[in-house]
Amino acid sequence: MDLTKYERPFYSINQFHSAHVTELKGKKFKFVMDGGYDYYLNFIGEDTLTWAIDDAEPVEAVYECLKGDDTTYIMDFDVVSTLETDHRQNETFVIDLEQRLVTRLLCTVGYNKRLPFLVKSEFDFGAIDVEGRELPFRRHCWSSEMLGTRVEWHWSEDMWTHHKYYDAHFYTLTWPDNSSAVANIGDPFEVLPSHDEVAFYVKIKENMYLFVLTEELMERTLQGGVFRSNNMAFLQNYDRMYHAGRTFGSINMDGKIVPCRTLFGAFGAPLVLRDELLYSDNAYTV
Amino acid sequence: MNRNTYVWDDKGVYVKNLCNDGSKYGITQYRYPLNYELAGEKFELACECGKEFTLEFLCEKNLRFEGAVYPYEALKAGPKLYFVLFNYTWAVVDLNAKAVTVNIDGDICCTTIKGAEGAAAHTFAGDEMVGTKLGWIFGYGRMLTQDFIGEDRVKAAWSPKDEKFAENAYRAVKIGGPYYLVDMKTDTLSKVCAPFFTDHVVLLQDYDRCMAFGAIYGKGFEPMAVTAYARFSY
Repeated sequence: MDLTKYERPFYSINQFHSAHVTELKGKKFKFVMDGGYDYYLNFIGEDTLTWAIDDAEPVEAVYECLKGDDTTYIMDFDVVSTLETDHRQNETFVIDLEQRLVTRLLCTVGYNKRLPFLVKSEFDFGAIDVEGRELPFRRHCWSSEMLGTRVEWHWSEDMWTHHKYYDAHFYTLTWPDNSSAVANIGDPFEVLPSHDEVAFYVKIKENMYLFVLTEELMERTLQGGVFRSNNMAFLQNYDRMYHAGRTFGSINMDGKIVPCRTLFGAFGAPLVLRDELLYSDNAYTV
Repeated sequence: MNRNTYVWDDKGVYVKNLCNDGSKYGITQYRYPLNYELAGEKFELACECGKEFTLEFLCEKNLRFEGAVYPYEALKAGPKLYFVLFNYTWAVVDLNAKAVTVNIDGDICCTTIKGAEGAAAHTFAGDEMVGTKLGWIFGYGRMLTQDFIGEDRVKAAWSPKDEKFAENAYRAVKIGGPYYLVDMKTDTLSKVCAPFFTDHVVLLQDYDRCMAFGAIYGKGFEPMAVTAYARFSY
């Protein structure tokens, strides 16, 4: 039989993500955060953990975990008490066992009265406390090193997109005509002034970055598209050219706004952008 | 110098591009991070043919098989499903079916974990893959095309695209669901993306997520773990 026709669900950005990683099961962490608090994670199961800040009572959550390289993880969970509310929160961590460093990304919806689906991103950096050893003084850090980078990301068997990282606060998304991205994600962009979006760039280590985007400009402009301000966190490995990540936000499903959550992954390839894309203006900025 | 490959700012300062072709890794460019979930696990295995083995993952780096200790590399292909490269051979550890398929001196042995409730050994795929034709991309510009034309014959070509497809022998094991283990022999390769003395390629192929996890073997080089994604049109 022709296995390329294997009956599979519809995939867009979520076909090429690796399997959920459970190897942190049984591990406990104390993160000493630069924000002035300690964050405790206890991986009690293959997909469950407890978390606590300082002396607070530990709270259970269901987590997802992927790897960016052999010793670096992107792990996230929704804050249970905020589920089924209009102010959901998601905690995402890059746990870097090689350097004993951690990056925390706290995402919140429902903070903006005018745009209730907008996702706010708050970052903090810290170190992993290990008994008997001094805390590292280095940190993951904001970085401009990715700027100038253009990549063709292959998300699924038939979908690939082009990313241009050109500004400390923005990136550009495009796609070629032969990608299913035209049908899957193309419609809203036809009425947007440009393909730029809000972005954050964090250096994790040499050739590894946490790239985070939020569909904020789209939400401010359309306030009614299919995607309602999703936040996407990518742990990007430029050594081997792939990434792993997760989304957190909202999506319009048949007229009802529901949470949008998925894991994703993609393989990267060099890209030649046409000049009009390479040197295009960001229509949202002065 | 190609203007699109390099970018300067408006003052003429070069802006670097982190994107690259992974040339330092060659065919192994897209190899996914190693997985350490099997560390500490010990499996007593039994095959219908009467053979029995012990496979013990001593730590994140070494395993013991038939009494000898070897370094290993494990790639996670799906929930509780692993491809393991060790001692110039391989094993597929499937904790869903409580089954381990292992290549021992060229013989593929489909075993189950002794005493595990509901254990079901993997089976040979027969002609199930016949009619399947696709490309596997291991890195930028590094592709293997496979056209399964019989239950033991596959036409294969490596990039740079070779008009002369070679007809190779293969064996396939049905792991369950969308997963198939394909062990393909290949003649000596020249001027392609795989190493010159490659003699067989083993891929645990997932036809749901369209990815493959496996290894490349040959003379004169250590076996190399690989990850690939599928393209149906190329």
